[in-house]
Amino acid sequence: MRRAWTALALNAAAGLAALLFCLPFVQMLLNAFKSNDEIMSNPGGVPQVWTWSSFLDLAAPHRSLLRNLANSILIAGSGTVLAVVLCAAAGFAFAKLRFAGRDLIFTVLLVTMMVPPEVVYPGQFLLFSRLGLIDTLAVQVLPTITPVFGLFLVRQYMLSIPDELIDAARIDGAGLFTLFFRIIVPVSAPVLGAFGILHFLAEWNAYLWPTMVATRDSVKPIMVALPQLVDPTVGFLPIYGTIMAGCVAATLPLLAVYLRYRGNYPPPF
Amino acid sequence: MSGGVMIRSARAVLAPYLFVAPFLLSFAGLFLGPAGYALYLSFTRYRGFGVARWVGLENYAVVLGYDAFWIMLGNTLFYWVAHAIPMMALALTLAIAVQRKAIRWTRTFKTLVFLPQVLASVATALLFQTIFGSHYGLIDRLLGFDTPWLTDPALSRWTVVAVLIWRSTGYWFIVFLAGLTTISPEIDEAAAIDGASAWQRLWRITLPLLRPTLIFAVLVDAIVTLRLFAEPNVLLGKAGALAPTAAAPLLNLVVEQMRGGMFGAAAATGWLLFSLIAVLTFALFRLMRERGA
Amino acid sequence: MSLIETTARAGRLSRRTALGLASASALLPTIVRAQRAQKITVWTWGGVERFQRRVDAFKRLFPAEAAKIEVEVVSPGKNDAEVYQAFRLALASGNAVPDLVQMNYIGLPEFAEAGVLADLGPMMKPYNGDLVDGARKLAAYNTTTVAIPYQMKGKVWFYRKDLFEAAGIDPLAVRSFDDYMTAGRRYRNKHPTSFMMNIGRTPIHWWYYMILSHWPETRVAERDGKFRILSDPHFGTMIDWLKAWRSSGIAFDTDDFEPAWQPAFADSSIGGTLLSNWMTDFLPKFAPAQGGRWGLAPWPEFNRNGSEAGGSVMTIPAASRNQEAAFSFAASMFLTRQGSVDEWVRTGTPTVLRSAREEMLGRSATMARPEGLTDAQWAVVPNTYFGSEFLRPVLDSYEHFNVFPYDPAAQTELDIMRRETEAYLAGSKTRDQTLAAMQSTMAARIGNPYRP
Repeated sequence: MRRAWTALALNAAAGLAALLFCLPFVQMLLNAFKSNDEIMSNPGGVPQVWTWSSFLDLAAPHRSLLRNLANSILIAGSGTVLAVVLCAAAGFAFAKLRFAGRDLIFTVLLVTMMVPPEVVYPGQFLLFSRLGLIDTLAVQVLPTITPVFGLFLVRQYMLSIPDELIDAARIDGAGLFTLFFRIIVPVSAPVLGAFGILHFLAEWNAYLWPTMVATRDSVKPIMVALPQLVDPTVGFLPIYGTIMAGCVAATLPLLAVYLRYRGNYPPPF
Repeated sequence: MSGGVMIRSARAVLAPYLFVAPFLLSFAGLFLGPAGYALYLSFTRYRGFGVARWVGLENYAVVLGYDAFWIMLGNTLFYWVAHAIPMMALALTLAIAVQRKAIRWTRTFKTLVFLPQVLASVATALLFQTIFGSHYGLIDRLLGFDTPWLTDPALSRWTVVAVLIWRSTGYWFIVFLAGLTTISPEIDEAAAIDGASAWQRLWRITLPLLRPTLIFAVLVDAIVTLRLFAEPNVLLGKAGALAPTAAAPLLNLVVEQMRGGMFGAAAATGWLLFSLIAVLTFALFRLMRERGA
Repeated sequence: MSLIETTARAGRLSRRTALGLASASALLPTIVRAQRAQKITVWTWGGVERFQRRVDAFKRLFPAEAAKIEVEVVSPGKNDAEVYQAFRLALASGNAVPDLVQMNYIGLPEFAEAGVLADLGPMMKPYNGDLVDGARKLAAYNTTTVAIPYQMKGKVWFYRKDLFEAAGIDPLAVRSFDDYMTAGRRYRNKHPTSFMMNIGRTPIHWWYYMILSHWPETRVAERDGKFRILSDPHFGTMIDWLKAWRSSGIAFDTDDFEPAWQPAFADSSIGGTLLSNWMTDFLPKFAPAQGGRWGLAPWPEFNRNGSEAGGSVMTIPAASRNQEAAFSFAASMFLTRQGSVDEWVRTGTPTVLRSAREEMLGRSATMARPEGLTDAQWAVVPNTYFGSEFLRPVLDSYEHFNVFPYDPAAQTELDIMRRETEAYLAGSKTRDQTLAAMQSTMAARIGNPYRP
């Protein structure tokens, strides 16, 4: 009897916690279907008038939000592809090939992980700007393509690939490149995929660096554009209906990815 | 013949470099170079245009002598400690409850708790603006109060903490759950047969075995929080400004100085943040090693 | 910049040689290309929509010019400070430099002192005589002409006529600071749910220089870099006033442009504000139902003179390659009678041209609803909303117009003043500590504002 009560209390507490975790989501969805005016008078409840106007406003011709969304996809997508490719190649070399300075270089790389990217921003900003890269998509991608953390993940995984597999392939006359593309990459697919998802999420959510280097609407990613959404006639004041619709639009793709892959997310370290 | 062998061996020697070169060269150009330049900048006074003037350690002295630096540093540490303790406890409790099958509908529960992680930090902050806005936000409207959730630093810092807990619990919950499943169930079962209570098993077996995961979690969460920027600033900034000093994280000083054309001071502040993270990392690593994890 | 000048600059040739070269090659296709529309980039803040309407008006009013100049509007930030930040960063990179940058006068000295703004003296010469005095101050830094002025931000007191009358307060009879506080308390007694003004925990940035600009001799630093916070008593007066407003209970507890600000106007929680004439553009949209109930007056005598950040100007970077086109666009819209009057009709910004004042006043008196405007839209046009007499007090405020002598570090100085004042308002620093901290922090962080 006492056990049953404990179980009930536990489940109730867990239910409450789950509710607290998802209520703001419901709030976001509901507010996305209100007009900008209604949110002020009715911030919490179900919309008095359900409307798509906020979503339509996202696509309004005087706004660049669709472009911003596309930018986010381009930046996060290309950054992820480059990072995965660079980390896979280098991870393979650090895990399975012998070359002078290998361990020393790897240790140095690991030590640099302690330097937060923000520390390097003043230097990166001035150097990239001298290259004429400010206000481009490239400048938002480049600083992210060499994540040492990703290299570390990939190398650790590749260390566990048995040497016999590699030797067998080499005896069969496979060159290093064949070996890499035919054996190493397919075998490492899980870690590459997991790291790719992590990296994509991080890039999708990037905020500080893009706010500094993207000033034109045409190159801003969605995360920079959303907080800057203001009333077009008044200026300055945020329009929460459109902002909430934008948040929904920026979240749905991630939600889809997560629900699809929730079994192996987050990846084990 | 011998020429062929030489080419082959030269190729064999060079091949590994072909694999590491793209990463290393990019890393050197995109990170190490700018890092070195940022270090040089920290010893100069430079507006970004015009001439850079060498000033030695002056930037460091000025930043360390600026009370806003200490306020922001205090805020950052506050955000870390105030959110990490309840959040880790909550994540761990939920993970243990799920692992011991004390909660039903596990799959749905896991999904719901993890859901906030899917929302970007910027979107989270914007969403909570509509919830915590004073006079006209959701909570104040529902309760009929007029609470300066976002404007009174004494309160708004806790609002930021609440948002951080909301967003990060799900992530560490899943990580802890993964850690718990790697602990062999036999040990636990053996202890249970020996008559150990659930509490005893938790304190004597589960937590000690989970220690590496816990320390790793504390470390990573600390580094992420020391670099906090988007949440407090999007949540508490108004009309495009950054969060007010009394609630601002340390990175604000870097950003503010960069935008204010004080690249030297910005770089110096950044390196001070780095030393903080370095000290913390070493401390936690030592902790990990001493306990024989 | 013309083709000839471009050629001259690129090849370091003399102007005459370049002229010869250019005319010799007059048939080359490059010339034909140069005849096509020249693209200029304009930087503004707070989104591109408002400025885009100005560009549309340019096409409508000056079709011949507009055929030659294509205008791209960029908004690198939500407020002016973010535009200066972006501009610094653009100067650091040396490319992506815009052709026309909107600034408040507060942001101008830094760039003028650094010599990165084009000298507009020769181009502005034909227009100078027609500028009202305040606008001429806005066009110059020291003795150089570096800006095209278009919006003077005079100090205007907005008040709810009905609520003030009910409380027995005549704004024109409020003279001293004590009068003002007394009026505030009387207002509170009469209207338990309404306040005569608003101020929150982090007073919005414009309070500081708006108050300081009242005293003509007040400045933050001497030319030799000595800061005057402690030697000039007015800095103390300023923080005393802010503290008094904050702690006396006469002010609604929110800062300008916080989310609660706009609704507080709409539901009559705020019944007045000491601000600048640009509020005529916002108030009708904040509280559309209160048309006809708002009055305008100059600030009370105790702080009547001055301006909010001086005003808005357009500057042309020295590194711009399209200086002539940029000037031509800005001059058409802001310095010609036609453009300037249209600007007033569209945005409510009063003209800065002597020759356009009569026309503006005349059109204000007889303004009829333009075609295509709905009732709701027409109701929030400042002229309808405030009544056609509203221009009078705005022009009056220009009689007391004074530009604060901003120095190149004005923005950083403002940040420091705000930071310390917030601590003072929160009670974590005493008055003396606050002022001392302002002075010492400025000395440590800025050094000499005139020496980068």
